[in-house]
Amino acid sequence: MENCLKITAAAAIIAIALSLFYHPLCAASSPPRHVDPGEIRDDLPDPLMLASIYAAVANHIARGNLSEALKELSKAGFIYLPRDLAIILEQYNKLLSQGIDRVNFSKASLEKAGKLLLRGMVVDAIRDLEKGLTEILAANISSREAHRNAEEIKRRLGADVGGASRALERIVSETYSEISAEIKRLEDLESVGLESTILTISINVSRAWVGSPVEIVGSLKTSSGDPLEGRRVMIFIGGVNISVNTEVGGYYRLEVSLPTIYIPRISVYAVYMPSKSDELRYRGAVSEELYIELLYIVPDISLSTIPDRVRPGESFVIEGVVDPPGGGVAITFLGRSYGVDLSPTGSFAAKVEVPGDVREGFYAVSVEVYPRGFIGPASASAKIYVYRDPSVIEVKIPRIVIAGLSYEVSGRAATAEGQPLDGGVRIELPWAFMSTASYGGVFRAEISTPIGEATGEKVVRIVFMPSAKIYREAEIEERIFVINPAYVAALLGFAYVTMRISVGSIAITLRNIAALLQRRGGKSSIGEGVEIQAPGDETASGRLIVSDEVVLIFYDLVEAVRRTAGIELLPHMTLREYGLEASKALGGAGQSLLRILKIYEAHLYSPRKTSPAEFKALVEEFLKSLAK
Amino acid sequence: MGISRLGIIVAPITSLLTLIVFTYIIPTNVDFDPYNTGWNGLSELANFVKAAAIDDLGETQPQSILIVVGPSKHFSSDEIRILRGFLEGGGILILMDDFGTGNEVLEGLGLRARINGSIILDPLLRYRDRHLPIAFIEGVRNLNGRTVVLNYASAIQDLDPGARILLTSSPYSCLDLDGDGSCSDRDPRGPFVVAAELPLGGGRVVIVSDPSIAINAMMSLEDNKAFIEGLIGSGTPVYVDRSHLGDTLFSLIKLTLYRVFVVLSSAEAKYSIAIILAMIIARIKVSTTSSYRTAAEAVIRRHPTWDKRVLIKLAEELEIEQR
Repeated sequence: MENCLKITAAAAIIAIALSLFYHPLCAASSPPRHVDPGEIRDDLPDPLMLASIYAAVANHIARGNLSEALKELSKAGFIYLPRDLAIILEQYNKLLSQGIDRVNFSKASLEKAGKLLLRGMVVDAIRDLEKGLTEILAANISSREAHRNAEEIKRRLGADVGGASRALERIVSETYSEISAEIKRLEDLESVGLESTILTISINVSRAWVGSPVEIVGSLKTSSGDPLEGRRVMIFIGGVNISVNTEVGGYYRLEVSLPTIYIPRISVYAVYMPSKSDELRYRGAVSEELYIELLYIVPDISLSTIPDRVRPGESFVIEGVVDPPGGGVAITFLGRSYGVDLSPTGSFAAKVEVPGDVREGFYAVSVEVYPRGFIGPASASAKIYVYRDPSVIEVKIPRIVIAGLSYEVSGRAATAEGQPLDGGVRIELPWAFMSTASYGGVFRAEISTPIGEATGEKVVRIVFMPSAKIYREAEIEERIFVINPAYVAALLGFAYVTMRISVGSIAITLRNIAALLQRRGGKSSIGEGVEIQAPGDETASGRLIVSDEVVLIFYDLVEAVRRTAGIELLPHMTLREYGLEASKALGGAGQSLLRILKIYEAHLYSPRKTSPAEFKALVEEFLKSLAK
Repeated sequence: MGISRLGIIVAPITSLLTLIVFTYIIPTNVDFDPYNTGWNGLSELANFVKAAAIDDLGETQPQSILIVVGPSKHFSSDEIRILRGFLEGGGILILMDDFGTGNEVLEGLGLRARINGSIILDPLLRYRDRHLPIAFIEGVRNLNGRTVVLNYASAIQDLDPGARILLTSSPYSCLDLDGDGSCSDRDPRGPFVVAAELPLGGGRVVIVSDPSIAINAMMSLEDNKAFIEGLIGSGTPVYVDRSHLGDTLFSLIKLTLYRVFVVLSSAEAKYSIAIILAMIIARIKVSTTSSYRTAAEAVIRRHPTWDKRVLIKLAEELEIEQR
């Protein structure tokens, strides 16, 4: 038992070791679909590509597209570098970003100062410019610092990223000069002392048709009411600006046509910007903002398609009427546009092609009317149904197939009227997809059934895709029965084994009993007058098993003792009891019997076996003495 | 040192049982397997989207989300039919594949889009190595402009009209068509579409040409997890397909064990085993205790005129003799 436990424990340890061992060995790795990101070595970026990203930043800075420059720079944030280099690059990006932000702020302050100046707010403008100047000085520091980082990156990575910092230095320098000059100019103006101006505006209408003339009048005076004559005033009307000069009394008058834009309303206002000698005398002025409601006609569009159903590759006509007629129409269908002129009555018609690869379904045809004069733009759409004619297929396929063998599938493809059709054929088997083609309406393919395919009914789908796009795909489903001989054999084998297990035990024991009876000459040694025939015909195979020969010889001995001395070996008797009783009855021969019984007992119950020949010699010697 | 007969029998059985138990306990190492807790598994994804792993595409509910990640086995026409029905019923199919059998699904569904099969490299905007490029998110709410780290990704080509692009590689990336591991002059330059969404039937197909963005080792990088969360949303049942994953020897053994358990747990198998066990036990009992007596009784049943007592005595003698 101790050995058994030791072996069991050792086996368990080996099993654990094996299971832990073969687990990693069995990992699939070819071809790699990924790598463990924690296990790979850092790879330095391509220096040229790294330089190119900063060259793009420099380009945007040089053009003054600072927001684009920042956007480009944000990409550099995704460049992966080992930690020591990453710190330098991050610092470079940060300094560039700060510098660009500061330049942006300074430029915004310049713009804001300009607007304040228009309203005569010189002091506020100077204050804003001074803030801008502070920022640009800070940007200068950032750009110089960034340049040092760029040098370090070039030294360690070999990538010249300094273009961006050099561009930043240039724009900083330019902006600094610009702001300094503007501050100086405004300080000069402020020291002189400027007088405010008042600009008024009025329009003769509040609603008007697009393109119709309107009259705009107004005046320009100083804050003390002195008219400013001969000054240029700009009128902004719907995004368009027109200049007019003031006349006697500072009044101005302008007759203009409203722009032909088709929006609900437009704004109108006037701006005065002092120029030349006025720059040192007057402040600029902006009038109040007025609005004009625009009037225009939206035309009605009626549309129809002829026919209302069409097949791919064919064409249809779209016709309609625009009331009142606009300036022409544009027809758009599946991404293609067609320009069409309108007749004097507003009617139009156009032929539209349907592409060959369009799927079945409803598609919109949109029509857009161009504006003309009082007639504004309009749009409408119609729907057309794209359809395909049906196609049909017939398939010949074996209903029962054997796994591991190949079979032919054939068929015909045709129109609904029976005209043969060419095209591709896809055969979708449960275990694979196959393709073939139909020529002259006939197709053929060989399908092979995998050897491991399980026995059972399978669905096969055959899809026909006509070459002519006016025909619809056709598909058909067929059922085949796969027989796998290996599966059938396995089932039969299982059935046989089960049958053997269930009937085998009785057959075996019957054979053994038959053997025992045969050894006794077909007669029982037990019971008076009872005879039993050997049931040899009861065995399953008809073969009798010959048991131990020594036992057979022993029963011959027992039978001889019974005949001679009338002593039987009864079922309840041990061999020793039988020996004692028989030896008493046999007298001198009894000792020989006891010796034989001892040998027989040892043969039965101990490893010390006796050979049949040896035992037979002993018994024959005993029988001779018994006969005497 | 002697070895008992019992030890010889028990030791291999113990080894076998131990192997079976450990094989069953140790997690699988199959790429993209939701039960794989290693770096290349999907256990993290499955946990955070509360996805159910399925071994049959037919197990999905209507209007749910089915994620097919890194398929390696072929799709049968029956499976394509199931996917079509799933999409027509309003389901969302998220197909994540690079070099596997994902194109069979796209072809089967009648889509024009295909996964190119070559690797996207990015010598500049990448994580640690050019094979792990950075991609930029578009068209996913609250995530636009954020980034995803790819891992041996491919590109989507021939997108169908009406497709919505969700993820693109950087302009510095290239598609390694010649397979030399670098961006040569012949290799086309990015950006390439890495993820896109297509309406189909009543549902949608989301194609992602890199399944590895979802493996455990990649989920924590950049916005990979947020991107997948953005694709899936919340409140919809999610399924992850296992039936098309590749096999390893280990996984095959596990699968075989699993199938054996499945077969054994069927009613037919249970009854068969019970009957066989009963027969074996009965046979052992007969052979060790009263097999000859039973045999004698069987003889009596066939020959009622024979003396039962004598036959039983004979059987007992035979039993003694056999011992």
